[in-house]
Amino acid sequence: MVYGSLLKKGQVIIRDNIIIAKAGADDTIQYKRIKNGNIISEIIVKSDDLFLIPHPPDSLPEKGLYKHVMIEFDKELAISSRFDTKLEIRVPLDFAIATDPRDLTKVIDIFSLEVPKMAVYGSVQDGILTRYLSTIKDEGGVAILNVIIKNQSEETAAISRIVFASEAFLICFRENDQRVLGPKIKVYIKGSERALVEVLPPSCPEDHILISRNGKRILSEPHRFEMINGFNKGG
Amino acid sequence: MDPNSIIESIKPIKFLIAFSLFIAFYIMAKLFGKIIHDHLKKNVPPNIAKPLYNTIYYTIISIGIIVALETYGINLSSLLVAGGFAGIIVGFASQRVFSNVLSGFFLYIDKPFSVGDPIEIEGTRISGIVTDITMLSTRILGWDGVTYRIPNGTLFESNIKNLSGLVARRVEYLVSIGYEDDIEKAKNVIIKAIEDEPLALVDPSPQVYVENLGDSGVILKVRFWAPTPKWFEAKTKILEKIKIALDKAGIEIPFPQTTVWFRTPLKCFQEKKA
Repeated sequence: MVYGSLLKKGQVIIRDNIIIAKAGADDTIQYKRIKNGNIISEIIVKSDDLFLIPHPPDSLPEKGLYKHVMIEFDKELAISSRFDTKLEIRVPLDFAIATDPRDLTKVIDIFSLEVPKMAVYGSVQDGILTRYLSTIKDEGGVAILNVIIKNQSEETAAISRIVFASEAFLICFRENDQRVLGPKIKVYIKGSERALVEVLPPSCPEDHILISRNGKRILSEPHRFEMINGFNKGG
Repeated sequence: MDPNSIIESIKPIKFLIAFSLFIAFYIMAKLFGKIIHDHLKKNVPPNIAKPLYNTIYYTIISIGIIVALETYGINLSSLLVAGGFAGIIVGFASQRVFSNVLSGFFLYIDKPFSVGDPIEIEGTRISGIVTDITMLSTRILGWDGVTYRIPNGTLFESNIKNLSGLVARRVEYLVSIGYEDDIEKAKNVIIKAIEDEPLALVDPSPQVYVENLGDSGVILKVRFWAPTPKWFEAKTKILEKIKIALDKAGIEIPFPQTTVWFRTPLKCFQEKKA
């Protein structure tokens, strides 16, 4: 599976999703997504082309239900006091069909290959609802995120998950490729229960397309999120 | 000089004094009312501020009228006696109204909910979004689309579940399986059905365990969490999915059955039709 123009391909099959795009009259495109024999999405759009693009995991199962993402590592990491760790993680992405590959406001359909899941960070009384992602080893349909964890506390810290604002989940991709780069994440462990998560936009090579959330220029200022409910699973 | 003519000449003066007194009370009510109104506006919600302001304003105006009439020379004792009786009657009649007003005030202090909160009133079938809170009653737009008006007195004495503060709510079912079915397999099938639904949360994780050994089957308790705004949707969707998944896995959902035992052997007779 590679990202890019749908009209050039006509039909794309992504696992159990069959995506069909046909050029119609008056610059229109008939779009259809079929899953398990059922038409899931069908729309006629006035556009020159449609694009299959990676989509940040922030809109499924329903847009607006949550504002944060929780990434859980497959294995807990233990970091000694005053030590840093660098790692590259892969998290599953959603997919979108858009009339403009650079702009998430031009999306006409979003879907996921796995069941999109959610989890509560903190307690159900005063915690936050998050999109739940766990790290995987796959190559396709994933975003590669660079994570730096700095243990600034006086004790060894174990970390199994990171939480941050989903709007900071920016991605860039290369057309006719399946490689997607996600944000750069810096985690500063301040104590046994407190960590500061700083999220920076991805460093995209020149041949990559950075997807904007509102069609505007993306600023490189970091988003910050304070994990005050701990960073271990039971926190 | 004739005393009556003196009184007659005094009357307009009395009227002027009485009128001036009334105007003074009116101005006082306006000024005092404005100060009270400004203060209440900042510190008390509108549903309590307005009736409180009206009560204070009209009390001052009423005192002004009584003082003015007394000054003019109208004896109010008979009027007060009648008013006293009327007061007792009105007092009895408005007992519940007053109770509701007081409850409204206590609800304001206690703040068990606000406008926009989804609530459930225990012991009733009323559940929905609070749309308005007045001095006397609270209006709830039920999930069935019907607006319920509940007197504040009733509400104050009820157990209220406020569902707005929760990020997620737990869904619970009791699912019965046959005694001959594999419990572990049934639990796995149910967990898988829950995990396949996006609205069921990963954390807190779903739970399935044997709750009871019932008359007709093994009763499993199923628990999972769903985002509060999607709780009802998740509850209805997933129960159906569990039933389908159990059917597919060949796990029986038993229904009540009774074995009738006869102390003596049962004799059956068959009549031959002519």
